[in-house]
Amino acid sequence: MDQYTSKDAGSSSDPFSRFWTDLISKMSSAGFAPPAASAQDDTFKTMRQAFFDAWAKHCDEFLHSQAFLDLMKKSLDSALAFKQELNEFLTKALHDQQMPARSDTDSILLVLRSFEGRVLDRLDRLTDRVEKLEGARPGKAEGATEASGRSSRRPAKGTAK
Amino acid sequence: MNTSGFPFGPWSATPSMLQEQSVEFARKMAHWPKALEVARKVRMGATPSETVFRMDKLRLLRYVSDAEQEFDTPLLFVFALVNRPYILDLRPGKSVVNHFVQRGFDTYNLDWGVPSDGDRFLDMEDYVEGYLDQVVDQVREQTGREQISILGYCMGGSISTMYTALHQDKVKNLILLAAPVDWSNRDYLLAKWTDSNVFDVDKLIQVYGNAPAELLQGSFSLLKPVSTLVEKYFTFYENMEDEKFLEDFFAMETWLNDNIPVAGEMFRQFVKYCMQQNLLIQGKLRIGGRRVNLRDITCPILNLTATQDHLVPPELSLPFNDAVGSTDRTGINFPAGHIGLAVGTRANRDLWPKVCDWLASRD
Repeated sequence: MDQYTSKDAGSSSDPFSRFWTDLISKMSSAGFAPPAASAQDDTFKTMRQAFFDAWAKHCDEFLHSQAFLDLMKKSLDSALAFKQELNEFLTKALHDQQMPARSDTDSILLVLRSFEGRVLDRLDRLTDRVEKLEGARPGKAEGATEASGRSSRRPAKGTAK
Repeated sequence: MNTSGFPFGPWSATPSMLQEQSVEFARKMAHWPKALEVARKVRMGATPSETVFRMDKLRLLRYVSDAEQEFDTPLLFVFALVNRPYILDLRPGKSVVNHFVQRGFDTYNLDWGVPSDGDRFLDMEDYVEGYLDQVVDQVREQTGREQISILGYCMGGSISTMYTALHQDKVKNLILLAAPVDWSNRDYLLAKWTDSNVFDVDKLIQVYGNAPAELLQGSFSLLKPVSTLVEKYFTFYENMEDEKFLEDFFAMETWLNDNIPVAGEMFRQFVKYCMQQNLLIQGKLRIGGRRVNLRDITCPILNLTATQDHLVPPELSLPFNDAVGSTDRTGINFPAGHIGLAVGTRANRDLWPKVCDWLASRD
């Protein structure tokens, strides 16, 4: 599948030259027999489908290729670097004007999550203790194991409508 | 002598051909206002529903029907985080939900909602042990049943397997629909693109917060560029006078373009731990301090895959059946694509009645 490499570019095995050669040959063979006038629509559709199939096949090979992966990595890295610089610039600009930036709201969110986690952990421990105490009462032992599958951190309860 | 009837050789257009095509083009252009009207009026959702539970941004929908409820175990649909769940109930005749509702199942659908910037720190534990667990508890509480059946689609299926492995006691049956669980095949396109050498997911989330919807939509379109960016518009042109086709086309286009961002930390963990490190199938994934061991899944499972699925090829789902501890394991590899499995005419005719039968026999 991995037919193309960065080295292919410009050489005689250039994927794009191969693509067009292949494409023309497939399209010509698809419509090789001269069509009867009544079948002209079908012939054009067959040729068009052959064109799309060949195009799709070569696109798929190119998208799997190392050349494309390298290109994708470079584009993504550049876009992320640009966005990061923009974020930093905006943060500095907002801070200079004594205004909160996204990094500040992120900090608040993290504090809240940590706070929520601690509260829920505490609640879980208390629930475990209550269930153990309930279990210790004669005739109530079956309720004591319910807490075993409980998560240590859950979002707050929702509302039934 | 040229006997083909074409004055300038076999490939040239005859005057009558050109005239026919011009007339056809003019007729189709005259149909544009009608097509736009259909696009404006298109409505998603075939089955009436009511919201029975809300939590942060998620909603739990319960489908309402006149059909008599025949089965005791409620069914919960769990959809992926990257799209809206109404694909499961897109239009009359193309609704997975409707099959179950009409058959007499008490059916629920989980709409995760659209994460905002403030949700960027929601992680796998929040989704699996938090939201999904609360929704399952809510369904159990509302129906008075100890266990429910879950149907997970795509990434929602992966989340459902994680949940079932951690809470087998609450799940009676598990149905997976094109759900990836094993990413050991590195030759498939998304695996190549998300490889750690190519895709720095940590940096993406650090910079953007949430995984941007545009990035996800662009990636999905690029998986089959000719089909999604070119071919379908030719099909549209050819069928633009067919109102039924237009309704289906615009409903599908609306859904395809309705991508939503994924909460940053959840996306980072899913890409890193599942797609890049393949921890789920190996039983090494940990959520909330607990190991997700697929052998802990002992309920009946039905694994549905699509032979022509370019997004989740069957190789990503099939190993699930061998990884679980269940003895009742069924797999169906249906001739369809990723979306066709849910909305395809053939799937609605041949597959979903069988799935209903499977679930009914395990109520």
